[in-house]
Amino acid sequence: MAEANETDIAIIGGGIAGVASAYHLALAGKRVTVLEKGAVGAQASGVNFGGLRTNGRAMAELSLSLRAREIWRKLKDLIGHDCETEFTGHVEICDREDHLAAVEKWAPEANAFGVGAEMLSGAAVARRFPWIGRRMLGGIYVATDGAANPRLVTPVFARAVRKLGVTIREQEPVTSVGYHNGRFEITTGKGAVIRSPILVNAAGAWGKRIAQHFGEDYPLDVMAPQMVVSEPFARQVTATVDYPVNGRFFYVRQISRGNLLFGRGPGRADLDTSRASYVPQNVFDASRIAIDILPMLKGRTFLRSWAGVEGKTPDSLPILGPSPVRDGLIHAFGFSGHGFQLGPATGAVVTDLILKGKTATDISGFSPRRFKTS
Amino acid sequence: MSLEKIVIIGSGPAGTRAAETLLRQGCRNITVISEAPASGGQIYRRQPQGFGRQADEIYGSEAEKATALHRSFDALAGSVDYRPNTLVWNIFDRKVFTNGPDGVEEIPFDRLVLTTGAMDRILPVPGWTFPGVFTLGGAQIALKHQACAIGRQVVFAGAGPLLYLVAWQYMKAGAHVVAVLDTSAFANKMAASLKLLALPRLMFRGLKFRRDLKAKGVALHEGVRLTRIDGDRSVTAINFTKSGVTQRLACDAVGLGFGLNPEMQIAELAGGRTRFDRTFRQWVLAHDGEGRVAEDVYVAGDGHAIGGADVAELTGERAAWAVLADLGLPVSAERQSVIRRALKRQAIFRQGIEQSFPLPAEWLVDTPDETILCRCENVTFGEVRAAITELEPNDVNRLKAFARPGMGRCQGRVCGHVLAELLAAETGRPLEEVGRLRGQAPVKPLHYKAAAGMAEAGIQQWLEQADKVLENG
Amino acid sequence: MRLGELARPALEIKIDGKRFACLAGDTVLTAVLLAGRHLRQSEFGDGTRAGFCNMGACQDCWIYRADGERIRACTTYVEGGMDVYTADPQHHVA
Ligand SMILES: Cc1cc2nc3c(=O)[nH]c(=O)nc-3n(C[C@H](O)[C@H](O)[C@H](O)COP(=O)(O)OP(=O)(O)OC[C@H]3O[C@@H](n4cnc5c(N)ncnc54)[C@H](O)[C@@H]3O)c2cc1C
Ligand SMILES: Cc1cc2nc3c(=O)[nH]c(=O)nc-3n(C[C@H](O)[C@H](O)[C@H](O)COP(=O)(O)OP(=O)(O)OC[C@H]3O[C@@H](n4cnc5c(N)ncnc54)[C@H](O)[C@@H]3O)c2cc1C
Ligand code: FES
Repeated sequence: MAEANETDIAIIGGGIAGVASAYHLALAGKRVTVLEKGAVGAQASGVNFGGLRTNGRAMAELSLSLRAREIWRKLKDLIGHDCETEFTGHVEICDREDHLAAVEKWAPEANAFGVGAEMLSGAAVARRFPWIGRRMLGGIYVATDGAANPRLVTPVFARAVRKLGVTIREQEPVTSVGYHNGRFEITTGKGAVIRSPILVNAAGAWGKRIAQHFGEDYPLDVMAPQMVVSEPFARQVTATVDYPVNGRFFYVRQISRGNLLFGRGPGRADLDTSRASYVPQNVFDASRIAIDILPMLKGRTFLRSWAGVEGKTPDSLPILGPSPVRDGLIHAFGFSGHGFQLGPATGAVVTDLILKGKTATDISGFSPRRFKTS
Repeated sequence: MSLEKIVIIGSGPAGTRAAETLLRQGCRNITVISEAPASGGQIYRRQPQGFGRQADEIYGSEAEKATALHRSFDALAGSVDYRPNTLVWNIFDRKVFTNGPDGVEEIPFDRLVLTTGAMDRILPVPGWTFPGVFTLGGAQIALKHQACAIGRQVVFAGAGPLLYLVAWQYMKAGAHVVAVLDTSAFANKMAASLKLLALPRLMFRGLKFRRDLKAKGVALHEGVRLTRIDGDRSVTAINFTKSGVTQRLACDAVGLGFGLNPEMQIAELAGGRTRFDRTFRQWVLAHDGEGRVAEDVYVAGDGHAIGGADVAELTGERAAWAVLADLGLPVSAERQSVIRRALKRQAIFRQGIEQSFPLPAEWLVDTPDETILCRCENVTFGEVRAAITELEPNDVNRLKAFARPGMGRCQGRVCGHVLAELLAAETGRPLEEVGRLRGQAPVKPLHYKAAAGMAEAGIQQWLEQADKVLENG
Repeated sequence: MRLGELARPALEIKIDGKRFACLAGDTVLTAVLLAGRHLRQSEFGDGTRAGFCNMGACQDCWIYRADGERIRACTTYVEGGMDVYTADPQHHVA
C-alpha cells in the first residue's frame, strides 16, 4: 500500500547538489526529505577528480564558485570531517599563443571578482613546478584552489544532514512526479508517495527526466569524464595542473598518499544502467600526454581507470533556478563536468531561492529560461 | 571448419584442453594468450629452461598427467596464435586488450574462452605481512619453479587440501617442515569422508601425505586457531591456540592458505554473470551448465569455480564443445556425457573438501584493530570497522570507496572476500547481500609507457607542434 | 633457500648497488630474497615486505630498475648485469 509522507521540501537526487541543499535547508529549520535512487554520492559526486578550482571557470560561474570556495575552507567545521580537503593551488599551463592570450584576457576579469589569479611566465612555471617536464610559454595560477576526496564528501555531508533531522531515503528511485492541490506528489519505486509544497530537482544527469514530468524538455546531453589513477609514490606533484591538448583538457593531481590521478575523456555513459565505462583509447592518449608532462611517470604503472555519468548542457553551464512553468519547483542540475566544486554553494543558493525567493549570488547565466523547453 | 576468431585466455589445464578440442574439431583461427611464460597453468607449471629435474620429481604422483598436458599443448602451439608472457588487462567492445613483449595490443574476437585460474584465499592473521609469510601456492611455486624453499624452518598454516600437499612436497624435497597447522578439526573431515570417497584415489592420497609427514616427525595440529605471526624484519614464530591452550612455534617462514578464490575479473569485464555459492562461501561465475557465461563468452577451470586440475581439464573441453555447438559444428554427445558424469563425481568430492576445510571466517570479528586487512594500501581492520560504523556502507564497493581497502595494486584480489566477510559479520547481514568488489581494468598494473604506445597520432603531433612553438618563442 | 638445481649457469646482478651472485632461471624475487630477507618497504611506513603470492597476483613485489622502471619481481627473470633497486632510485637521486 502507498504510504503517505508529508515534508516541507523534497529533493530528488542525493549527489552533492541535493545533499548540500538539504544541509542548508535543515540548518534553516526546514523539514527535508532527500530521495536517492542508489546510494548518496555514488554517481558523479562520488567518482570525480575532486578538483576544487576557481581557475579557468566561465565568468558566469565565478560568483557561485567563489561562494563555494568559502564553504570548502570551512568544511570541517560544517560537517565534522575535512574529507582530505587541501588547498595546494591550481595551475593551467600554456604552450600555445592562442591559449596564453585567452588566459591573459581571463585573468583581470576574474580577478575583479576576487579569484586571485596570478599570471606566470614560462620561466616561472619551470621554477615553481620543476616536476613539469616541458617548457611552457606561460601559465595561470590560483594558490587558493585545491582538492577534496569525492568518495567521502557527499556521504559525510549526508551523515551531517541526517544528524540535523533530514530524512534521506536511499535505494528509492523517484518513478513519477505530479502536482495536485498545490503540492508535489512524488512516487518512489518502493511505492511510497511523498507530498511537499516545494521540490528540488537535483538529479544530475537525470535532471532532464525529472523536468520532463512537468513538460519541460531541457537540452541535456550525457557525458562521461574519465579518470586514471597511478600506483602510490613519494609526492612530487603539489599543485593541480590543467593542460589542453587537441581541444580537450588533460588534468592531473597527486594525493597526499602518493597516488597520482589524471583525467581526460570522454568515456561512455548510460543513463538507464547508471553506469559509465572508460574508453581505453582515452587512457592511451592521456598516458602519452602524462609521461610527456610528468617524466617521473615514465617507469611507473597505473592501477585503474573509470568514468562517471554527468549531465551536460549546450553552454556547459548548469541549469540552476526556479522552473519557468511550475511554482515551487527549483532546478539544480546539469553541471557539465565541473559541479563538484560548486556543490556546497549550489545548496546555499537553492536555500536562498526557497527561503527568500532570491539570492545574492549571481546565477543569471544559469537560468532555466535560457533554453526553449517546449 | 570455422574461421571465426576464438580467443582463449590461459594456458593451464582448462585452456589447453579447450584449445586442443577446438583445433581438433576444425577451428582454424585460435589465439591462446597467457601471462605465463609456458603452458601448464599453476598445478603443472613448468620450470624455467636450464633446470634439470624430471617430471616425477616436480609433480610426484601427477607427473603423468602433467607430461600429457604439456605434450598436448606443445603439439597444438604451432597451429594457434600463441602469445605467452602476455597479460590480458581489459575486455572492451569485443576486443581483448593485452600487454606483452610487443607492448599493448587490441585483439578483436568473435568468441572468448576464459580459463584464468585461481589464487590462494587468505584470511589475514596479525603479522601476515612480515617477510617470510607467503601464500601456500606461493610456497609451492618457489619449490616447483625455483627449486627453493621459502625458509629454513617452515610452518604451513590454514585449511584445504593444498596444505598437506605442499608440506609433503617440501618434506620430499628436503626442506625442514616444522609443523602443519590445520584450522579445521578432525571431526569435519570425518563428517565429509563419504563425499570424499567419490574420488577414492584423491582421498587416499591425502591420507598418505599425513602419514608420511607424521613419520618424518612433522607436527600436525588440527582444529587450531592462528592468533599471531611474530616477526621483526621477518618472521620469527607463529602463535596458535588449540583446545584453549596457546602454543608458539619458532620458524622463519609461513605458508598460509585457506583454499582458493577464482580469478574472475576478466570474465566480469566481458559481461560474465556471477552468483554466490553457499557451499564454497564465495562468488563464482554463473554459467549455463556448459560454460556459457555471457554472449559469446565461455568459462572453464578454476577461474569459473574452484574444482581442481581434473575439473579444469574437463570443463575446458566442455567449453570447447559449447563453442562448437554455437558455431554449428558437429559435437560429440558421447564426450559431453562422459564429461558430465565425471563432473558429477568431482562435484561431490568438492563438497566433501569444502566440508572438510571450512573457512574459519568467524575469526574476523575478533581480529585486532591494528591488523592489516588490505596489504596494498595498508588499511587496518580498525579503519575498516570505523568506516562501517560511521558511514554505513551498504556494500563492499562502497566500503572500498570510504576506507580504501581493495584500491591498491592487487585490485582487491587478496582482501576483497575478507572485506565482504567483515562487513557481513559486523552488520549481521548474509554474506551474499554485501556484494563483491567489481572487477576493474586494468586487472593488473600497467606501465604508462606501454599504454602511451597506443596513443593517437594527433597527440604526438600536438606535442611536437608545441616543441616547435617553444623553440621559436 | 635453495634445495637443488645448482648446475645452472651463474650470473651476477646488482641489488641496491651491491653485487650478488645468482643463477640463470632465478626470478628477481628469488635472487633478492636469497641475498637478504626482504624485498621492499611498504609505501605507507608499515615495514618491510617480501612478496606474497609468488605468481603475479598480489602485486606485493614491485621493485625498480636503476632507471626507475617498475618491475614485478616474482615474474621477472634475472639477466646478467641487471641493476635493481628495492627503493625508488629516482627518489634517492632527487
Ligand atoms: C570523472 C569525473 C570527474 C569530475 N571532476 C570534477 C572536478 O574535478 N571538479 C568539479 O568541480 N567537478 C568535477 N566533475 C563534475 C562533478 O562531479 C559533477 O558536476 C557533480 O558531482 C554533480 O553533482 P550532482 O549532485 O548534480 O549530480 P550527481 O552526483 O550525479 O547526483 C545526482 C543524483 O541523483 C540521483 N537520481 C537521478 N535520478 C533519480 C531519480 N529518478 N530518483 C532518485 N534519485 C535520482 C542519482 O542517482 C544521483 O545520485 C567530475 C565528474 C566526473 C564524472
Ligand atoms: C599457486 C597455486 C598452486 C596450485 N597447486 C595445485 C596443486 O599442486 N595441485 C592441485 O590439484 N591443484 C593446485 N592448484 C589448483 C589449480 O588452480 C588447479 O588445479 C589448476 O591449475 C586449474 O587449472 P586452470 O586451467 O583452471 O587454471 P591455471 O592452471 O591457474 O591456469 C590459468 C592460466 O591463465 C593465465 N591467466 C590468468 N589470468 C590471465 C590474464 N588476465 N591474462 C593472461 N593470462 C592469464 C595464467 O597465467 C595461467 O597460465 C594450485 C593453484 C594455485 C593458485
Ligand atoms: S609476489 Fe605476488 S605478485 Fe609477485
